[in-house]
Amino acid sequence: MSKTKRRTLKTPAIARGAKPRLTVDVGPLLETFWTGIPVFTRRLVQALLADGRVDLSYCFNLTELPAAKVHAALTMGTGAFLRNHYEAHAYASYRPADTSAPLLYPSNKKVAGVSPREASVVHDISTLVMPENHETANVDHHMDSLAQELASDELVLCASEATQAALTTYFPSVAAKTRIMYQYVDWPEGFALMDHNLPRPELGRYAVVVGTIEPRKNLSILLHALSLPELRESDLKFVIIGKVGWLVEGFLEALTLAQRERLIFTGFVSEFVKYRLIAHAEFMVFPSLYEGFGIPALEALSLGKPVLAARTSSFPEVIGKAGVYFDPLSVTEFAAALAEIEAPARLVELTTHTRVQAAQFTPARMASPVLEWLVA
Amino acid sequence: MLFDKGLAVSLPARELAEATPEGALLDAEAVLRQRLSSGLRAAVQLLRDHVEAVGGRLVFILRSEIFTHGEALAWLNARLGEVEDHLSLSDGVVVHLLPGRRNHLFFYRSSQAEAVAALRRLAMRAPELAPQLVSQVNSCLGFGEGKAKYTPRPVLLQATGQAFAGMASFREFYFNDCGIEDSVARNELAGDLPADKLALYGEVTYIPVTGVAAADPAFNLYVAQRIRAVLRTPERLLLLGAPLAAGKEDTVPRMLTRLLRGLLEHGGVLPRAVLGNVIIATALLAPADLPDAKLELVIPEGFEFWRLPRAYYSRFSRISVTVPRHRAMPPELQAMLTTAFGARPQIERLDPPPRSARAGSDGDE
Repeated sequence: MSKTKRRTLKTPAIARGAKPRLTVDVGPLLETFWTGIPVFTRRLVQALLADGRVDLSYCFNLTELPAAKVHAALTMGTGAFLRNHYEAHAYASYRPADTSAPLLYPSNKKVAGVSPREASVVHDISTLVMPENHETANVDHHMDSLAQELASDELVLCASEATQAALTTYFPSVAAKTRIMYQYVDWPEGFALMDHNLPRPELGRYAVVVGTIEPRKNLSILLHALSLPELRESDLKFVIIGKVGWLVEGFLEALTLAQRERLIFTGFVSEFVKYRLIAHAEFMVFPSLYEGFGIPALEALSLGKPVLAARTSSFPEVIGKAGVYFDPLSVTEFAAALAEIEAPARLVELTTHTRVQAAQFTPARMASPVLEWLVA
Repeated sequence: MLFDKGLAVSLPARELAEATPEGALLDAEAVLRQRLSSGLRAAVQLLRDHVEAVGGRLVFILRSEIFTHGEALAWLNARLGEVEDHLSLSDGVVVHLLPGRRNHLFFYRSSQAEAVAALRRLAMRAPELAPQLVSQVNSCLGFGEGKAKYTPRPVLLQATGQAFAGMASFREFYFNDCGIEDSVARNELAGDLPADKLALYGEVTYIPVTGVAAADPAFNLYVAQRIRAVLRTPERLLLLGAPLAAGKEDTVPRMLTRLLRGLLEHGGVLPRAVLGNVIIATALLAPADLPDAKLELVIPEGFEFWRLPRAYYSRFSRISVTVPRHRAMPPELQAMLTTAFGARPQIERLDPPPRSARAGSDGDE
């Protein structure tokens, strides 16, 4: 951990035991199935709880959520019960959120300027720089109030250096108040043992691709590459984990028979199934055109799997030396990079970097910019 | 010289969604091999010709937004080398900035109402974007309001050669009281007029209507007034260019619908009969299409004047530009148009339609 953090945590206020207060808008945790932002929110809350030096409370729609209910949801890994309780009991027993405390939004704000001290997390600005890959309503949702949100923030947390760079390119006035908040991976403790007790998935040699199927994920490069002579004869399959998203009408229908034999679409799977599929893969393929962070890449590294990744946005900073990179618009480069990562000696070399790289992303590192902010 | 130190050009990804380039960096010919709208194609050709002429290096970038920082940006910088300028070829939906370079804007879809609206929306959503633009090519757009208003320096890049071959066909101007669809269907049934009909007139006024203008009540009222005026001067021809849509594909019925709807809604009363000396052109008139007559050109808002060479404009004895009565024409735009046309344009002031006309035509729809 950085020297800055050590110095910050020894401030007199902390030493006296006066915990700084913080309200976190945990709206994303009210989702039933947690992927993406809800998982980010869970990890952030758990990182702050583990640190223990912040007096946390929770809210949604400026309504205080009972801490016990939120903590129960964290344990269960679903927001179904939390949402049910909120909907059933808000009138009788919930209170307005305490807006005098600093307020942290793990994603974009629904309303700005409620608390005198606000912070929010910007995951990426793809709705600004590549809106054609999003539905119009999603672009409007993210972009209509972004400038106002940023202006009202005392702290703007960016999911990566890539997001920080992109955001401050378009909003240079916020540069001084941006900090990076890196996410981490936390597989449940039992997964490794459960997987150990099960047979290896009977899929043959395969690489894994994780993410909602949508245009930004750039799966078309994989399809084009599969028709190249050098790849046509390979026995490597590609297991694609993720639900079908938006703007991909016709994509799956257009697959040829040959492509279908090499591609296995799982749809949405449980965390454990995802864990097993990554753990038994040769490596991960991440051809996305743009990512704010790219948590599946870190998940692969944490399980000792190198990543074949597009040379774009956050990938080089997250994957480091544990990956092979390619131009996401070049099928030829993709095919060459695929050949490189498949070579046994290179795969071994890359694998040595995986867990070292993953170990850099920890709960303490995720919590640190919030702690620095609260004691400033 | 503009861009003589080389130029990196960000392409609008929305238009290239079906493209299959071999990499994020392309040369002009690779871009031109893709399926492009006519506006984007013209802009790419213009940039290619200009940068070639000044001896600079030209690189097109698809998805420049992926080069945010670190290794990805270093990869790009290594390939761009000494290129100092970056230009965002914008469809209005996205304007790209490239860190570490002088950023410029070329909004190539100024004739399209939805593109103009998208650019305005973008400027509101990202108010710090425009102040980072060193210049704007072929436009004079002001961003922001009041003291915060910022107008990137306008610069002119104009086609120099023969811009295009003749693509226009000619249609009757007609509509009736049975609705736009019926009017357009009858027009379709009548088919094309012979091109030599244009040669019958000693004086021709040409108004290439843009999508932006077709959506403007004041402009429609102005056109309707010009139509009513030629009713009493049968020796004069009024030639209306039908506005093209934003997409790569457009059809004559769609263009006619766009033109007639605006006139019906905002123009007031017009005859429900075929007007012999009002003709619709379905594409921009090529130099060869221009009749040998005394020619007047009326340029509406959003007209992509840069696509035509100065020699084209020299064929007209009078060129005027429409401007709303309440708005002054920026001197920078006037200077740019004067250079482009080779003569100072006249100003046609547009009055807003009376309330009844604005409310909805003469009861047709």
